[in-house]
Amino acid sequence: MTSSSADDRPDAELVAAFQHGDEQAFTTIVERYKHRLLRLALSVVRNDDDALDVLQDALVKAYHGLRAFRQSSTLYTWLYRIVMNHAIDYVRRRPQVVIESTSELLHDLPDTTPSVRPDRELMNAELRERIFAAVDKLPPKHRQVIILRELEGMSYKDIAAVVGCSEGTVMSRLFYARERLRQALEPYLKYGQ
Amino acid sequence: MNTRSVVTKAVDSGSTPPRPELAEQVLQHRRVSALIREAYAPHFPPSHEPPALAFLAQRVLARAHAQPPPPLARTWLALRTFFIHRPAYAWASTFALSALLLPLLFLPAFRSHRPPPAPVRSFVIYQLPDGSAFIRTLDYEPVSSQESSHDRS
Repeated sequence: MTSSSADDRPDAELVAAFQHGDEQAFTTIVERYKHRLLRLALSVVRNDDDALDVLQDALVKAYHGLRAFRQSSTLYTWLYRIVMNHAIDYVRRRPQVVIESTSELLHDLPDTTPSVRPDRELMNAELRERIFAAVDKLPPKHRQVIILRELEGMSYKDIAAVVGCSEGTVMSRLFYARERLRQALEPYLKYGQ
Repeated sequence: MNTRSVVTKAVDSGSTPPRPELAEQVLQHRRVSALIREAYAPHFPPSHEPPALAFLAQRVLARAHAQPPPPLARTWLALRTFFIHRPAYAWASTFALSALLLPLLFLPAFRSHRPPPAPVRSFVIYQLPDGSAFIRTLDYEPVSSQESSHDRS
């Protein structure tokens, strides 16, 4: 079977094919989800190189685990869980010098947000630093849900599947995460629209 | 005579009356959400694809082949795979294996805890020269070969 036709197969078929020895199916899965998974890793580690390392390690783990994957959960929530856990472990083990390098990274990245005035731009740079710091200070379980909800736009149900808890717990964690962020960013909320 | 009903009491259920402080909190949480999305947006423009993402699957496959999981994890994965893909066969094998192994495992323990056999009682009738007789009752119990010379009479 050629790769172009394999791309159209649904996840469940790809998983079944992989479990029967079709390695091309794994390539298709990676191609299908690599952008979203990289974004997820990047949102936690906030460094391109680290995010790629995390993603590769997580996908190697997924490769080994996929043979025993039950179709009871969806493939993408399973992959998200592996990448998210790996990224959070990585950040935990990482020395705390990275916060400083974040600002360098920010200057290198193209800013796609609409800039209105230079003073607004300056405020944004400072605010971003504060936001990143505040998100970094959140406990991992709160950071997970805020990233999955705000950045990935996932539903409560999918977040619950990724994190491995009930939807009620997800809502509760989201509330506490937002509340902590609100307290940390209180002076800046006045500038919001 | 016409009758009519007059409402004397009304109880609302469902939506709670508006609470200004809650509304303010919700508003601030929305602002927080908007700020987070705005702050992280430059990191992930939709077109953002680092060149290193190319051939990612091939690199992952190469690493996965070169770096198999540790033996314990491999055994666990193999077992899980076996049970997921061949459940009937896996459970049948498990039952057969446990039927074989359990007696072997528990036999020594069973033997060590077995109560000692009850003594065997016997008797001998002796006849004396004067014509009278007496009976000697003998109790036996099995002993190991080292103790066989031990005289218990």
